[in-house]
Amino acid sequence: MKQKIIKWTLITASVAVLLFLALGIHLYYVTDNFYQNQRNAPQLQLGRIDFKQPIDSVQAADLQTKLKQVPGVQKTYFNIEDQILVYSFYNTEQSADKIFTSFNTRNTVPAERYIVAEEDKMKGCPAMSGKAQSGLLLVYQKLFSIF
Amino acid sequence: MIKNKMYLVVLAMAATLFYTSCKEEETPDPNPVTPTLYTRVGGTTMVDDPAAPGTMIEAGRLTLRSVVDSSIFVIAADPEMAAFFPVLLGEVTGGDFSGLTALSDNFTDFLCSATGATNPDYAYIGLNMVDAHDPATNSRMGMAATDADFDAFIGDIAIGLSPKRCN
Repeated sequence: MKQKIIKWTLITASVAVLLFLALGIHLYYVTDNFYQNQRNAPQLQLGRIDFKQPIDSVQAADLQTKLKQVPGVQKTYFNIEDQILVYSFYNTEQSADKIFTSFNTRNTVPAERYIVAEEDKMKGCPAMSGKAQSGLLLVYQKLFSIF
Repeated sequence: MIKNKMYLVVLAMAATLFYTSCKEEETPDPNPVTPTLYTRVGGTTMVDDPAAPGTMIEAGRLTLRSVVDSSIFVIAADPEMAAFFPVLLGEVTGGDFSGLTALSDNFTDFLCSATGATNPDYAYIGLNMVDAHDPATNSRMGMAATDADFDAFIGDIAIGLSPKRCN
């Protein structure tokens, strides 16, 4: 009787382990492709231009219009107080450098493109911890958050 | 006699029902169900996602994401916040999420969870707020944030909510 219980316990445990592994392998292949596709999709990015002299609201509007005339620029925001212009673009269509060069053909106000230092690229919003961005882990965590 | 008793029972039941039904109408519910903020900003109603034609998104998430996306522009243009969000302006060429995409997704998840979203796809699974803002427990946090930094951050969110948004 005891041997029978041990035998069935082992069979049940083995089936459970196999099913769990099958689930893991399935998720790996499904989510890996999913997140790879997401990463390879056009990414909306931000660029920043700092102006070297005070700007009023009229000038700011004019500079925003000039920036929007550059193909690929999506949205803009001007921080007039600090003379900073931020814009978005898709990385498959444009680059911050090309946009800045093109913008300067229309702009006469002294300006500089803000470039992030290489060591600062690993810093960011606390919500963006590597833990939160890991594709497979993300899916496992979201999956088990259902239960 | 039995018939009279039955009348009395029916009369008593009717009186009880009448009394309780009137009582329910006159007495306000001591525990009224207040809709969550998530529900009030759109909730789970499915709508077209303007950022991804052909896909649907919960209206509540769409509202919150729009606030987040506007605020991200304000944050990126704020020199006080620049030290905390340099990744927003870092460029990616492909094979990785941009800082804007990653922050938008994670911050929107955070707000969805905080305001009452129940969709597991919108669950925030990042660090808790104490650990997230402690450089000792979050390597991405270059330096400790002060109350003044937090106030400046909230100020940027308020601008993101205002009509003075990006366009």
